[in-house]
Amino acid sequence: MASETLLEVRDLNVWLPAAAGAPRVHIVRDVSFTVGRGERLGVVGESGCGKSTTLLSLVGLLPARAAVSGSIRLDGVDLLGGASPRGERLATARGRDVGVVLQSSMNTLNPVYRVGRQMMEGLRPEVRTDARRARARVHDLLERVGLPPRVARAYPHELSGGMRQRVAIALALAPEPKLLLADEPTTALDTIVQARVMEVLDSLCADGQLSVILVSHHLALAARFCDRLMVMYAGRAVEHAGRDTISTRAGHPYTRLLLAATADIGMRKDDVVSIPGAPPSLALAHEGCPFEPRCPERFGDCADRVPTLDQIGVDHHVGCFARQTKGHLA
Amino acid sequence: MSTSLVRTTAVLGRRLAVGALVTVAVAVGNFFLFRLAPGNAANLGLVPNASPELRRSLERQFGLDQSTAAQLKAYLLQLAHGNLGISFGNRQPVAANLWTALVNTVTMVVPGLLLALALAVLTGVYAAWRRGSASDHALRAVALTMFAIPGQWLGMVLLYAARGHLPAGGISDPFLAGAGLQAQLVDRVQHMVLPCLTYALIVYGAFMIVLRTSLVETLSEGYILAAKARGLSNRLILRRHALRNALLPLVTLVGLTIGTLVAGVILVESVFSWPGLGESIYNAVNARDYPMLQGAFLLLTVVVVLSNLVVDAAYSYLDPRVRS
Repeated sequence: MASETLLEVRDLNVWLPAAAGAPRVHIVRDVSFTVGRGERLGVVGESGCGKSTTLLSLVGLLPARAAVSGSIRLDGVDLLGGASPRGERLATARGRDVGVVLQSSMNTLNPVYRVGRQMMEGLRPEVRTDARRARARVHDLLERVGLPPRVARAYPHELSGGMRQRVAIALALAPEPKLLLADEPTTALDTIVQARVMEVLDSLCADGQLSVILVSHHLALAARFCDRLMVMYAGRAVEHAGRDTISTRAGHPYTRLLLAATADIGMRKDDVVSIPGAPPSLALAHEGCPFEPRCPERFGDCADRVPTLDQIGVDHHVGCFARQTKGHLA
Repeated sequence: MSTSLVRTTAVLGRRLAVGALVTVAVAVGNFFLFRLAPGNAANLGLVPNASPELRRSLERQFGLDQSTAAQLKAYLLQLAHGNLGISFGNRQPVAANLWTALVNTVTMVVPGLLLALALAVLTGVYAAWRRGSASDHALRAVALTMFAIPGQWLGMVLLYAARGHLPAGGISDPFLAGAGLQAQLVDRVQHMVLPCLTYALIVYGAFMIVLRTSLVETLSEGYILAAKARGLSNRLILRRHALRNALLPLVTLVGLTIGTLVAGVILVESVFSWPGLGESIYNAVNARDYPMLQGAFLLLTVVVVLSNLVVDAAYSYLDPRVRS
């Protein structure tokens, strides 16, 4: 894979304010990762494990009262620190170097404007101000996501869910970003439309110019699309490895349970595996490994300390005492 | 394209026909409504201590001696010819009386509405953008207070506050009749300030609260976050993406406010002796001036019907989902 680093995130921590009076909640805890140029990183985990918050913090889209610490470097430029007031560089980066496809992207479009007009807003100024170039660019973007030019003249409510989702992707691509952040881009779609949208994303990355971070609760889908995967649980990264490593030699019990929990059409009802219990509330303090209460491999240490993310193989990091002390399972 | 034009025309035609039907129905209803009140124009002090002969002669003159059915028939026939009749009060054509009153009311209401809208948009947008802040709470408290204050009381407080600086009532100074155009213009504006301001403050509260609430709701929509994600500036997001969607409830409210013109205006007009529609209606009720009342209520009906049409048109302009 291309080794040139595009995005480097170090020790990212995010706190969000809870209800009035309650202490703020530590949503993202010491998360570090890098994305190379043209690389696709998948961030997976159950709902409420901090995936979306991690993604949104990269472009400063968290609520104003959120607190963020750590460093986020895009092309070597620190987006969080520096002399400029915080947020300014984030605002410049988003919509220019970073495109975002949101979780609720079915509602990404303003119902009162035609699709083409909304796409033009995102174009770089030099393109936007030239009407002919702008129109050509909009049609080109629509073509790249597999939509005919006439979609530009439609209102959002005249499009199907799948079409709107493609438009949302085209919108994110309008300023020709280097990095595309996609937060559950296919969650609201049926399986067939979902496959088409993933094909579209795949074709966009084909020339190796666009890097993607895909957030999904669907491990199998992310593993098909991404080069590397980061599994998150309770605000922390618990496993980080290439997709082949994840699918064949997953280290963390949580990752392996997630893999096992994938249903197949040939399976019978009783064959479907699920992980008992639910992720812990991040608002409540707990000691030890957060997965310990649900973990089939827990032992002495697990309830007392939080495991750090340690390297257990080539480009393979796992945060689990069982793995770190016992090494790889066969 | 042409099919949509045909459809628009058909919709518009149907709406106009319904509006006309409503107007006729209201005209008939009003005819009976005013005759339910005891007394009539001839025996209600138009001529104090009138002799029975004089009263009978007035009744004959006004047509009040005929049967109700005959009066209704005469009224509707007259109306069909576009004739609103002659006022019992000043023996002038009702249409001319109403026109004068309407012009006076509109010159007060339109600047008042515009002022209220401008204030509501400015403060509403600011409060919504800084929702939850101290200034948001303060602005809402002011708006709610304005909404709750009785209009006539507010008018009198303003009168008191501006005593000696601004004229206390009326629409112009009769002694300036021969003065130059500029002096007359200044005089008219001075007379307008207090009634316009009072009216603006009365309607401002509801406008501001509705706009703020609607804007707060709109700002939590997915497409606002998406617009932020695309790197658009706050100004652009507010103006282009939030405000247009948030304006819809305000458009409805302004339409309703115009439709219920008299309710708000009658208080302001009576405080400032403003010779507008509200005052005409008030006087006509006291004098049982049936032609004037029928004419005024017909006018109000038409205003309500038309403002509804305009609101519908504004809706379909602002929101394409309404069109299909």
